Amino acid sequence: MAWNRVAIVGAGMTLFGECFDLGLEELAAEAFGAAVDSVEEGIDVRDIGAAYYANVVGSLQGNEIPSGAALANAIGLPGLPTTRVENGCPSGSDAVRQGCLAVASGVVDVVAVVGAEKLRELATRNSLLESARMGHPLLSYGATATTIFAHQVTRHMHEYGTTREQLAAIPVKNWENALENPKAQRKERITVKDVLDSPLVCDPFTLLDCCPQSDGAAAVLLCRADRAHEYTDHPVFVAGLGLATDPLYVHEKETLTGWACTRLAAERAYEMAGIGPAQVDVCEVHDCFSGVEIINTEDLGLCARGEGGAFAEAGETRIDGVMPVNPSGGLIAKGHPIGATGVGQMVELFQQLRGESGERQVRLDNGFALQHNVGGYSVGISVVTILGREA
Amino acid sequence: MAGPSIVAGAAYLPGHSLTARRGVLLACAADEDAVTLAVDAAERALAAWAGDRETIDALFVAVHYGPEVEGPQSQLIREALGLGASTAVTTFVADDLAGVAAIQGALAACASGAAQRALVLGADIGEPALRRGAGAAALLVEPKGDAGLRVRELGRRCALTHERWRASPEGLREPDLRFLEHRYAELAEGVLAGAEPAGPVVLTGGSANARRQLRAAGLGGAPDGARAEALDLGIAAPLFAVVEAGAGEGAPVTLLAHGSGQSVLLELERAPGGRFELPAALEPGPPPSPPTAVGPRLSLPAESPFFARTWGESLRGEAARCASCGHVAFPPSQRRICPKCTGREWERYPLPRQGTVLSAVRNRFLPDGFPSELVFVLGELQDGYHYGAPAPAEVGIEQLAIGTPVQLRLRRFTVRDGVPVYSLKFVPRR
Repeated sequence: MAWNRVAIVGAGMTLFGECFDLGLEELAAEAFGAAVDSVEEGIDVRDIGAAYYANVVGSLQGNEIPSGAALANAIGLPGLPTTRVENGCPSGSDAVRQGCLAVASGVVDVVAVVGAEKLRELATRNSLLESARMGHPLLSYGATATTIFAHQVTRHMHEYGTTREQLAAIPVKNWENALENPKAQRKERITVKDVLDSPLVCDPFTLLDCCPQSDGAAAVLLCRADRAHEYTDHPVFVAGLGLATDPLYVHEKETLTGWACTRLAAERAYEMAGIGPAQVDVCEVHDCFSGVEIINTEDLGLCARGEGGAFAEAGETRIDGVMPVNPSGGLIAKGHPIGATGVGQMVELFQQLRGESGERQVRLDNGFALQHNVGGYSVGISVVTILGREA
Repeated sequence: MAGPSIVAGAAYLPGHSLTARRGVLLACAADEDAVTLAVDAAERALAAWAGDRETIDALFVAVHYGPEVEGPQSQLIREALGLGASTAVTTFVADDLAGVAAIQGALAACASGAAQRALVLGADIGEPALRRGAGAAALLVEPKGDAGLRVRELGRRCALTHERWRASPEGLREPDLRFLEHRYAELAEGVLAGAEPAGPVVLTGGSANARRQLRAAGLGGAPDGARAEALDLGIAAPLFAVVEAGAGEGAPVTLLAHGSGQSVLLELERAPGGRFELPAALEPGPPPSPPTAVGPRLSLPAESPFFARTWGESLRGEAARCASCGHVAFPPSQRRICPKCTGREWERYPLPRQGTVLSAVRNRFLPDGFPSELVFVLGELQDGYHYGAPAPAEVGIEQLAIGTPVQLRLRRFTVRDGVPVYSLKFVPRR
């Protein structure tokens, strides 16, 4: 029996990409407005009892330290109890999770969750790459996002024979999906050869194996499940939630071909939703780098351990495959404005489960969708959310 | 044998070399310096000695000049070696005979009872412009050793000389080498007069030409196989000669050490049982890449207490082992509660330094201040524990295929505001 105590009644997002002319507050306000406007029966924003704000690097980018007050003011609701969530790459999905817990607690009935990020306030070399200086420098040695994922993908290739071409199949698919997504950052068709021929960023990833650095914002409106129909005839229910942490540093991890936190978070979410991977119709999976999507599909139980590469290469994760993964274009092609990413995935799945995704609409058999992020410094945290269209 | 003696010793020779007029001139990697050379030599000597390093209560360090000795570098060496906080640390610098002074200081400390066990280190980063090679050597001195080498000074002569011991900023201007040779020959003659060395004389220091002239005059004649003369290791040269003497057998070796206007004649009397380990036969290495003056900026200044709290354990590669379940955790200062059993009792656990590559990746997209490419290695150490560390700039990824034997070595990670920051790095096992 699915958890289903909370429903999503509205969802919206900005364009992900290089939004040079929009600041953090403008992006947050635009996404919030889009979510409000998406509510079919309309919503009085004064119904909102609390807000959660996902943002990761705001204070490193010249913005005021983005506390909850920054969001409350940006969306025109000063006074609203608002909490900032900074929890690595799953910040957005954890903000949704926190909103769900707040609603389920009975303290508030309607919650706004906004994820917003400005990574392009600085040139890419000095933007997210500054993470090389985060963490303990004598344990990270300048590890950037690629480096902290690369060892696992390298081991996966070594132990399971996953090929470079199989990695490249991920960006090829996700860029193709993004062609149909008006909010996506990347709008081109690429080939496996393009991926292999692009410049090396960090073994085994070339430039096209990597997600871009993005600006953007996304928002969802959460509501007590039994009041959802006041706002829409097509709510999407939160069927299950899971968050888990991993042994922190790469030298502490016990598995080198997957992330224990994703496996554990998925286990918790599936159990809460009362379903297994076979009932998932569509998923948005953390694909910051090509091989990471392959490993995640295994960790989430969407294919057998060690077979993620062949699974993707065979087209099984395409929109028309047996398990569509990242119909939005994923982080690689839709973009990865960190704090907004998880919320943006919810926006995609909200629309998919309501059959509103147009050319990239997947076939819905069971009515369940899965959202997943993994990251945090040293890849130490994962969130899995299962959404369903039936209460 | 009564009185203090040198009971163990070893040397470290860096893996790079330059072509010099008289053969091989050893050179450091870009991220090696006097501290890392000294630690490398000391670890070898301590391994050869096989004693309890916690019983060492005196450390004598000889280094050459400049950035090597700015700041408390000898304390870095002490900490990296895991010597106790009450160790008496003495540093000899800015003198070509600093290595000899360090040896004699240690012997005197042990003879007087001031020290129970002394570690003597000499490390020189070399100065190619002055044709001085890089290297390091380490010796263990005990008060009443019945094994190893007993040292006796046979004589000493001093004079005013005009030799330069560091290249001037405006470039090298050769001193009058013939005058210098004349002066050292004079000093050598003086110090050898009446000394009657029992065996061959090993020469270190002074100019190469002066040494050649001395040999031509019959004042030299290294024992068979001696490399101390061929490898000019600067300040470390006399220590290296001592290690060589210790590793050999038979009649006493006489060491004639020159430098900074002094000639010192030492007799090294050999008794069996010393533990001396010489580096394997030298293979000339590739030329070093130029050192970077400034490294990557850290998230906090190097002097931040943030770094100080994990400084020692990071230098030593020292983990902790859970007293309840045996789980090994690094860095220990961040793991006060065992993630396996929630135990809170820990014992010190030095990480093994040998291992194999689990994964190595090149990162070519790094923020400002980092090199254009940095190789990161995830290694499996001999006990099965994993450790992540970068490789030095001179080690390419082709040398780090999965399964390659590697070792963890202390190297420079960055230099900011003149303060060097060190880290362990994975290098292929030689």
